[in-house]
Amino acid sequence: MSLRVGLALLKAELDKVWARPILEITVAFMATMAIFMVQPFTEIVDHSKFSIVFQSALAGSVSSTVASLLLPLVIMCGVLMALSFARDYESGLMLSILSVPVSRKMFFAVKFFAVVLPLALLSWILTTFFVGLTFYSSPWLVLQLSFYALPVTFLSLMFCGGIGVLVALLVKRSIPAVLTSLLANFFFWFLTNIDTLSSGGDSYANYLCLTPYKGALVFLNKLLGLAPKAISMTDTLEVTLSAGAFGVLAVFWACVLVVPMFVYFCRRFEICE
Amino acid sequence: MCREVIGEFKSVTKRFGATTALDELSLDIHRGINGLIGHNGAGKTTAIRLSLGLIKPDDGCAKLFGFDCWRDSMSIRNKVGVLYEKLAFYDNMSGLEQLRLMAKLKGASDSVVKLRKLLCLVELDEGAHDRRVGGYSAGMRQRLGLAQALLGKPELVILDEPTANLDPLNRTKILELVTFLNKEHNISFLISSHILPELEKICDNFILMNKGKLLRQGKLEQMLSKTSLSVPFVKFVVRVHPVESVATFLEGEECVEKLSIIDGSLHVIVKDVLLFKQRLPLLIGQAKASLDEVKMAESDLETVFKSSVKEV
Ligand SMILES: Nc1ncnc2c1ncn2[C@@H]1O[C@H](COP(=O)(O)OP(=O)(O)O)[C@@H](O)[C@H]1O
Ligand SMILES: [Mg+2]
Repeated sequence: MSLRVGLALLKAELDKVWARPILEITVAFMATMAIFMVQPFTEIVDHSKFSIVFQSALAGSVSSTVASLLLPLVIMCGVLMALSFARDYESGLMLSILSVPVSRKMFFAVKFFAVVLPLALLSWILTTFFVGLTFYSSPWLVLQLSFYALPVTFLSLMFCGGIGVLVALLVKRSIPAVLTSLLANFFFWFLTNIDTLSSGGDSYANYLCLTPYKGALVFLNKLLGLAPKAISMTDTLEVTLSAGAFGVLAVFWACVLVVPMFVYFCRRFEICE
Repeated sequence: MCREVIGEFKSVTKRFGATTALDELSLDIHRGINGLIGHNGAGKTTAIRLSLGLIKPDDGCAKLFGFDCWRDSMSIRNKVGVLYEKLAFYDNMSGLEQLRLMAKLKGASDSVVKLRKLLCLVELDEGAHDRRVGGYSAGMRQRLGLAQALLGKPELVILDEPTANLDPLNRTKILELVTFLNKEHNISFLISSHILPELEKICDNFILMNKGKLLRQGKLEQMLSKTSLSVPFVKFVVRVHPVESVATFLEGEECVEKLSIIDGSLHVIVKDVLLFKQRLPLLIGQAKASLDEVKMAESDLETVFKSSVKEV
């Protein structure tokens, strides 16, 4: 019963959020960023070591593609999430839907995942596609490794979606909410994307790998079995912490904004536009 | 006849920053047709949103069907349909699709045929059912909203300014529909409006509000008796020159019940309209006065409302 209601609402939301040019713009934006990461596999290696080198090159390609997709994901997720919530509040659609027997929990979850899920799926599909351009000879391995993109981008998207909801519920006007969310999301992305090597310092490296997006990328690298690039730093957190620890960190960042916003929306938020 | 009370507000207060939208408002909603009446900004919309659990009262307690409006709003929303002033739909859907979605959300398993019938009941033309809602006119959106409010056999339908976007002909039609649904399907209504004469004819229970406070509530006759005006008489406003001499002539007439001079014009409560209309020109002639204008005063509800606002 309530699953049927949820699905009907989800379909309506998907149609609304991803209406005509939005999906196309998002795919174009993501493809533009990812295409720069396509590099031919040209290493000359000993025959016996080929499969190991091949696999690690493939894993490296997945990692760099996902890293390049993060900016479009963060921007689109922040913008669409803020727009989705603020526009519904402003137009009165939120009022209409929450006046029929639809629980606030379901409404929030549907609106949130109507933005996050398609973006996570897109990032997985595009990663598979662009990695597959180079490594098409072993499609099975490509699928296997690029699958890791899904949980990692999903968790990152929950964080930036949380920023979007926070901004939308505070600002409550679509255009200001979209702009604020865009800036806030870009700011967080920027904070976590300063190059570790050029900035130097172990403590700085430690700080960076605990930040939301960088932490998620380290989690991805650990899942893919890639060694940290900075060989000189042997006792930084990036080296010493396990994949599981970074997984927990990614889940923490994913929930840190969304869960309080969810509780706030369900318990306290007033619809009085 | 004393009707069952299905909802009540008990000194409900709601503030938005510095403005007090509801100020210790207490009211009863009865089974039947309730009219919620007040000027713009009186707090009608706020009261309606509060009753559906969309906003939280700062103070006091609001209940519908025995459920607390804020904490138990799901139980209330199962029994209530609502049409807001501000209409919003999924604009990329057709009217029928929108209605089907809302039916699903309300847990009503109405077939497409039934939904089309509902759209015809609210007089949305057949041709518009499958067109995008984004292209609807204000009146069509209003009808779609009304159909939405009627979905799933509600016990109470709340209409916030339902006639605001409609021309006079369609206003009457909507109000006729309300009466029909109340009689035939036993649906109760709470209708907010600032246009008083149109509600006067159809409501059983009137709730008069001003600046977030309840002025008066009850049946029209009850309220009329409280305001020192008797019901069966018709009020006239006569503008003559000079007023005083005409007043002395009119005083002894048997068709006149009561007479007063307000703002330089004569307010006459008349028992016998025909006789009054015959006598007036003669009396004015006798008083050697000149007549500027004779008109029926405002409707009863307007009289009650205005006198209540003045009393406060
Ligand atoms: N979201 C809000 N923020 C601030 N003030 C509001 C808000 N909603 C309503 N008000 C104020 O509350 C009062 C009552 O408004 P409302 O209930 O919309 O009146 P009505 O529906 O009777 O015209 C008005 O003075 C209005 O300015
Ligand atoms: Mg209003």
